[in-house]
This record gives sequence, C-alpha cells and structure tokens, in this order.
Amino acid sequence: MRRFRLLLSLLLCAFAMPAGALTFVWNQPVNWIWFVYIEVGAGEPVATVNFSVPAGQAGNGVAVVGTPGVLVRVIGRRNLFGSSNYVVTVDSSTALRNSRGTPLPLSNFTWTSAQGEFAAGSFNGTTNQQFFRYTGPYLGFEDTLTFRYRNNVVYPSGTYTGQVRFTIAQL
Amino acid sequence: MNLRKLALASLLTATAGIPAVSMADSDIALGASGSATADLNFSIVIPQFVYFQVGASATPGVLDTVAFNLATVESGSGLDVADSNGPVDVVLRSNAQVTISAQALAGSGPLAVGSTQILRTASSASIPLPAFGASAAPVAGPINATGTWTFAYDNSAVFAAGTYTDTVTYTAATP
Repeated sequence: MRRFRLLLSLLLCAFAMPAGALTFVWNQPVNWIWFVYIEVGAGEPVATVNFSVPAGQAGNGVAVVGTPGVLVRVIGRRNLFGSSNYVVTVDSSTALRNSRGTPLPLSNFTWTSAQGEFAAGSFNGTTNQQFFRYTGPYLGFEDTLTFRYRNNVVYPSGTYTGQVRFTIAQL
Repeated sequence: MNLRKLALASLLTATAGIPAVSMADSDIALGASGSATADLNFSIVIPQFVYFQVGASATPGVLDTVAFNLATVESGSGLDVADSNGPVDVVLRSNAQVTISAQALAGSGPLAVGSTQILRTASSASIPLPAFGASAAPVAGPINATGTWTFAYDNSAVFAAGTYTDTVTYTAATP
C-alpha cells in the first residue's frame, strides 16, 4: 500500500504542475516487491529426517515414522494488484542409496501435515511433482510435516541417505 | 491463522528490499520470475534380519503337524499317502542371503528312514525345502516370499503297525 500511495502522489503532483515544468523519472524497477520465500526444516543447514526400521520388521508393511517433524514455510507477494499462482514443487527423482549403492526410491515415503495446510501425499519419484498450489496476492503458509516410510518392500540392510528439493515459484 | 499468515507476509514484505539471502534450507527470490529452493535430507537405517515361519501360526511354539494315515491304504503298497493336514504354510523374509537347513529325523520305523520315505515339494524356489539332515542351496536376498511345503509318504516299505512321531526343526540362517 505504501508503494501505491507513493505512485498516486506522484501522479497528483504531475497533474498539478504546468506542463513541461518538471519531468519525473522513476528508475526503480517495478518488480522489486515480487518475491517468494521457502524454508524447510530448522536448526541445521539442511534438515534431516531420520528413520530406523526395527529389527525383524523390515518389509512387514507397518509404516515407520520419521523424526523430527519438518516445518515448511512458504511466503510470497505479488507486485501491487492482482493475484499470482504460487506453486511449490518437489524433486524426488534421486533415490536414497546405502554404502553399496543400492537404491531405495523416495516413492517409499509419505507425508501428512499437522494442521492440514499442505495436503497429505507421497513422493512420486519425479523432478517436478506439485506439492502445494495457492492463488492470491499474498502467500503465507506454514505447517509441520510428518514423514513416514511405507516399509512394504524388503531392502538390503544398510544406512540409506538422500535428498529432496522443494522449489517455490510464482506463475 | 489469517492474522498469522498476514504477519508472515508483512515480515517478508518489509525485508523484500534486502539482497537475496540463501541458506541451505531456506531461500528467497525477488522478482516476478524467480524461484526459491530448499533441500531436505532423508536417512533411513535398515538392519539385517531374517523372518522365518513354518506353519500357519506366527506365534513361536505353535507347531503344525504333518500326518499320514494308512488306515485305508495297504502299508508298503507303493501308493503315496498325502499329508492329511497339509500343505504347510511357510513365510520367509530377509534382506540378506538365507540358507534353510533341516534337522534329521530321529524317530523309529518309517521316520528312521524319513529321507527316503517322506517326499517333499516346495511351492516356491524362494523357500526351498531341504532334505532331512541337510541344507538347501542358499537363496539370495532380499526375499519376501510366502509359499507352501507339501509332504507325502512314499509308502514303499512295510513297517510294523503303530503311530510314529517326531519333531523336525528347520533353521533359516544369514551369513
């Protein structure tokens, strides 16, 4: 709104002055207010969700809950008027691997959100899976995700590590 | 919640004029066409294990019984006698190589020569049924298999009348 009032004042000044008396040049980029912000996890450079399958229960179909919960915060703003489509996608195309290089696809993991701000779902192993979408002038959502390992496939023993990437953009 | 959302948006609006900052798990992008990314690590520990079930019950100590009744079949006639309780359910899950071995029969009569008198068939190569007192070829992991073991009495020798019983322990071992 401050930006809007500034522009309105400039326009009113231009109408009040004799033609040709002054020329205002506005050099500031008009898109400086547009932004998107995303935050995933807390307390570490990159948060880690840890899962430990109990001995003797690997592959028995009883899901294993990961810890800790992961705070996801998305914020955005559009310039002046109108609405934007804010879209958060996730890249889960790179499988986790153990020390012997055995892959464990990220499609084995699901999530739920504590307050339902983000719909429950599961990774589909692609580079551009839609995680969240919102249409409006402002975006401001946060919620804590709980991830679960499906545990319905028997994988070789080991410690598997990997990473997903969340991306937010205005369309 | 709306007030909170607006507060969050206002906070970022107020800082929108600062240069873009990027931490590994948070990111901001200015401008109409920018995108921001944040990563999340996953780590899962899966221990080595083997789960082996012989019989219908998953409760340890609850045993199935393979029974051959020759009441209507002449002993030693050569006509195979099916297991009247069979087949036997088997479950094998492991994330490592597994070798299944069978204890030798220690009973008398037909059970004393069980390796020749009791016929064995496994429904799945993933859960082989070894001979008594022997081991089957190792099965590569990971394994998540269910199947059945079928037993029959060969009935090719004549034994004295009576009821013969014994218990065999099967073992699934990982390296």
